[in-house]
Amino acid sequence: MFIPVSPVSAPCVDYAAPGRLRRLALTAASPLLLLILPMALAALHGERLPGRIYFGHLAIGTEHALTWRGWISQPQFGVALWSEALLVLPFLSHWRLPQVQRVLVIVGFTFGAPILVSGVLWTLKPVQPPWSTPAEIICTVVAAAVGYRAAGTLPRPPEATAAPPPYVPTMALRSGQRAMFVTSTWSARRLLTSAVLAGFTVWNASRGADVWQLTALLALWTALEVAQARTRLQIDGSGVTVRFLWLPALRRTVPYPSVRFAEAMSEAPPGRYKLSTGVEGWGIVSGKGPALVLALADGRRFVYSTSEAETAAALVNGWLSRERQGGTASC
Amino acid sequence: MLITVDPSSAQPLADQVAGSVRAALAGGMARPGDRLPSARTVAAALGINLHTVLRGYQQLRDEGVVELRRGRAAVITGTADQFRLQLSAAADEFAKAADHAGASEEEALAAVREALRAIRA
Repeated sequence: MFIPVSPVSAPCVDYAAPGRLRRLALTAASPLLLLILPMALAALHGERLPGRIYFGHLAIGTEHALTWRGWISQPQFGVALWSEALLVLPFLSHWRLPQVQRVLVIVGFTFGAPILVSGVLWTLKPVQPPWSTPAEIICTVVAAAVGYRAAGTLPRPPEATAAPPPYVPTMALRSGQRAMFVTSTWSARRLLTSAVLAGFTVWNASRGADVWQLTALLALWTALEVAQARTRLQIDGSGVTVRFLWLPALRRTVPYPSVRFAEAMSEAPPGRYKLSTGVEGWGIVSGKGPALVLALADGRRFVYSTSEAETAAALVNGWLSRERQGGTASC
Repeated sequence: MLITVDPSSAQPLADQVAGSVRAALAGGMARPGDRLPSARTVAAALGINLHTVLRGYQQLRDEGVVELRRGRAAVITGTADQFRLQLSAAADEFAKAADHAGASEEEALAAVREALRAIRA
């Protein structure tokens, strides 16, 4: 029996508050480098610098007087504003998602690294050395790692302790009984998106684009879309795990303490459910049809399209009931 | 596909693994062409020995239910006998219920014969 689509009734818990302002400040800091560093360079080495210097791939004129009007007429001012908006607006829209905030800190650091490297190189040597691009790439990778560390430890998500409600399907699991459920799904939409992105990536690389970051980003995006085209859902004693069959190292697990209960719905609930956690939750939705829906302790959902949603939901609730009603769940 | 084992059951674990796959096929949860999860995955998820899972898979291969190839996933064959599997799954369920009720083999078989006679009369 499928349960009709209903809104998640649990209150959305703001567990992201600890460290949020710090993550916001770190995210917003990088684009400011684009304003501060050229100004500092011009102030310190104005006479030694050529008429035009490059930060990343952005040309900046140095002949302007050090006035506010002079600097806001520079192209980097607009770029910095756009970059700030591109980082801060997603942060604000994911105000309660510390995982997304950490990713934005990393993106910010990655964006700031080439600017910082260019600034340092211009300070040391007014003519750019031939190894400046490899130096930028290495520093970008290091900056991503530093960004991850700087974001700090993320707050722990809330945990559910109550047994599933009586109206959801529940499989009776005997004490000591072990069970696993496996199913996989295809997404034609993801495959199509991957093909289009792969085309863009090849086209961008073949035209000799000098912005390597764009090619790398497109390639990464393509790989992620391909990985999401075929996924496998596994339910066992450790929780509910989504694995990418073509990138098996990539997986995401919902541990049982994060789950309030599971439902089988005749179709995925409204909202955007993707690999990354969104406002409504996350998951893999491939077209219309039944879906396993987990009500999570933080008020969001996990959704996975499968024709065997009823069995999957019953097994999850079976695990939860046994664990939370004093059973001896193992495995 | 749902695979369950109960270490406290008298039935060997390998038979339980094979029985789960048969039940999935009989119940329509698995279809010819579907891949079984790798033996390593099943062993890790259920906390049982890899060779136990492989023995279960070999039983299914011997019955012609799955095709096993070295280094590749076990695939459910198109020739899997749906009727025999359904019968086997129903018999498994009945055997479990009879065992749970404490019936002897003769009593269980007599109950089946009686039920069949009643239906066909």
